[in-house]
Amino acid sequence: MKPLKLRTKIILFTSLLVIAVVAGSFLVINQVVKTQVRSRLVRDLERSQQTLEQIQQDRLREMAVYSIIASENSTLKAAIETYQTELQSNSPILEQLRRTVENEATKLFVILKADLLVVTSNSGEVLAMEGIDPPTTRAGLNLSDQPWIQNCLSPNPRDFEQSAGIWRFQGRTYRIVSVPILLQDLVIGTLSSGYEISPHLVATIKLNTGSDVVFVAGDQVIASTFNPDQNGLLLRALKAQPQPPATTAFDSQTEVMLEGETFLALQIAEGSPSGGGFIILNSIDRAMQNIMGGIKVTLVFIGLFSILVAMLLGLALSQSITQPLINFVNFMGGITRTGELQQKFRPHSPNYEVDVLARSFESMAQSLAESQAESSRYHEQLRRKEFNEEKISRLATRSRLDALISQINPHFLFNALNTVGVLIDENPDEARRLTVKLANIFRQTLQASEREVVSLEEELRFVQDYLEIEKARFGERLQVEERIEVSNAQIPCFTLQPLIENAVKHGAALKIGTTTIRIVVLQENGHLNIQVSDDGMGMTPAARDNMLERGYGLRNLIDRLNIHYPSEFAWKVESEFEKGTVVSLALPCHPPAAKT
Amino acid sequence: MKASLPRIRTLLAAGSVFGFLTACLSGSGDWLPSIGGGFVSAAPNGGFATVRGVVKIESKIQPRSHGINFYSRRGGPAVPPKPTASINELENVVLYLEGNFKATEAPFPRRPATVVSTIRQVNETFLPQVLAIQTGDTVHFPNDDPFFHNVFSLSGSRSFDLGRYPKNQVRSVKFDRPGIIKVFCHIHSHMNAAIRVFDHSYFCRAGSDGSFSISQVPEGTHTLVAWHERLKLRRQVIRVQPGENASVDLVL
Repeated sequence: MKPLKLRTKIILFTSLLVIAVVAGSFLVINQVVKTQVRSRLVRDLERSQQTLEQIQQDRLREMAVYSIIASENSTLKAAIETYQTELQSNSPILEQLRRTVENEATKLFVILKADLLVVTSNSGEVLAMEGIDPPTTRAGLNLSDQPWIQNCLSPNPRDFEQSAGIWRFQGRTYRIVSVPILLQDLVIGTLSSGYEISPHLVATIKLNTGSDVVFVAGDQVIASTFNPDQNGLLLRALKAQPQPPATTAFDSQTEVMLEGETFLALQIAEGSPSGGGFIILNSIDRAMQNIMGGIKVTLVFIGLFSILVAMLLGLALSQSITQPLINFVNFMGGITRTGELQQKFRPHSPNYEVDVLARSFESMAQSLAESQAESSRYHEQLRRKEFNEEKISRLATRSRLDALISQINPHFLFNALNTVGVLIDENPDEARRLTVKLANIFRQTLQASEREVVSLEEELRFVQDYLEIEKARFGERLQVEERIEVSNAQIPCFTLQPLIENAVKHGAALKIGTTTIRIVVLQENGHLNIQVSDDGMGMTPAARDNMLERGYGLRNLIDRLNIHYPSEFAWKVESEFEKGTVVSLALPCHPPAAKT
Repeated sequence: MKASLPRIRTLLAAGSVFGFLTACLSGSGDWLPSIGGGFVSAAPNGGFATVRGVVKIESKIQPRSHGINFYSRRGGPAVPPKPTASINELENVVLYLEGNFKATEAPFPRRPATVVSTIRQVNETFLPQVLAIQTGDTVHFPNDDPFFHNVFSLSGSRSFDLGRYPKNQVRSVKFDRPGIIKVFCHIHSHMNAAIRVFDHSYFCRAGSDGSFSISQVPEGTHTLVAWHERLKLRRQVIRVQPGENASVDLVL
């Protein structure tokens, strides 16, 4: 899987965060709103209850008032009163009187616009009944056991509400109210009027209250604004509820589920519990839907807006991190390409982290550069050292060659051999000795080429051998004086020989007369002081200034000493024309750097 | 005269038995004490005697009002009249003898044939509210109120409708058959009156003090009935002896 870009990560993260926050808010809001809606629905239900009761009360009161007016019908009163009087004598006019009552009841029924009208005598016997088919059902019907009739007939009637009731008759349920029919303050009968609790009625109530209304009597739904399935569910739900004690007149409030919808139900006690009662229901879900619908849309918009803002911010944020990083990477790439470790990351990055990174990188590069410099220095030294050693070896070889050349120089050889030749006759021992010396010189020269460093004694011995030969040639003209106060010193080979050779060649050879060569080796102030002086021809200043160019031997010596004692030795040449030359060397006491 | 005596005795005996039976059949339940001490001796006055007494009402007549008078603003008195206040219920009590007197009527003196009674209409009330008359009597219904009344009856023995008539007009009805005639007013549904029509003359209305007197009652045992429209009947068996004025007290 490809690793995600920082920008994608930020956007994903913020989007998820926004979604989580929006969803969380929705849940919290949902809960809060639900609580609010519940309490509001409770108020709504109570208002609906008031409205419903008001509607019913108003209607009943209206019916009662109209019934009272209707009961003031003189024909009705006369017919009822006469009927009851005639009843004792079983008069043939009874039937006519009853028909008269019925006739009057029919007229009143039309005027009252009631669903039901019942006229009874003061014994509760039904004289006329309107609104129910067939009318024959009334024969022999006596309603004196109905509480609302009883209240009317009672000599001490209670208030108006007691004359109202629920009457279930022939499968129909009526809200009914009775008024007494009075004749000179005497109750001669009752007039009851009622309206049927019908689907139409509950629909009207729903229209007025906005709540669903169900009328339940016994175990039966009489009228409902729900469909039959819901009615069944509601009955079952109500049965499952713990029934409030029948004695409490309080209206009970419950929550019921109907086909996945939650309703808050308020049961209204309607007189006697057996008579039945209304249940008003408000859907919590529907109320929630109305409110939460808007909130949901708002939240989704806020969420989308937040995601958009988060995207932009994420882009900006990632840009603020990645751009300096890209710059930094480019910077590093530049270093890689050019190898310029001293480069600085400019300008300072606005991003703190990248800045810190850049500074550490710079400091690292700095260290790297230093260590590289150190390393190159070291390599340079190494290289130089190797070079020096090579040069020393080369110079030594050259010296040896020079020495050989010098020694096998035809002049030297000729002179030497000439001297030997002269001496063979005059002094054969001396000649033999010189020959041995000459052989020693050549041997030593060849041996010495193997080594760079020799002891002072060896060098002196070699020089003495050489001087023996020269002395034999020059005779008395060459005197040698030695003052050696140092022993056990190590010096580069051929350190003295070139100086002696120069003294002989440029001092003694050119001078007429005796030349004394002095060799002094002292140890002073921690230095080995070597001085070779002659009182020979000496050098003009010009010759002295050019002596390094002209004289091959001295330059070679200086070069070699330079390698053996870098910056640790001193040399000096003092010369005065026709007076002599002094060459001084100050070498350190420690042995010269040995050839590795 | 002598010859007639045993006949009268027979009659008396028969009357006594009849009265007793009537008392038993009436189901009044009060007949036992009536038998014990209720037999009242009538004055020996040539086979006739006057029955006197006092009736009292101890039962309560329950008036009730619905508190609404629908005519109070229609030309009538602002405060509806309280008929019960001005009406003495004792005057509405009718006392009469029960029995079939047609066979024995001829020998007894009769009331004049044309007795005219009056029920007036005053303050939306019939006055008197109860009337007792004999068959053949006529009742006048004068209107004393300053507005129309319409007197009518639906009763089986005599139904009539006198139509609407104004103040000072009188309409009359003659009653030929016995019975209880309930009288109403079409215009004022609360007005009512009752007329008891008897086919004999042994009846009377109680006075304002409850006293009553039925004269010319033939000797023998009779059942005296006290009737009030709204109360239960009260029967009392009496024995009437000629020349002895019977005195009886009744409680309703």
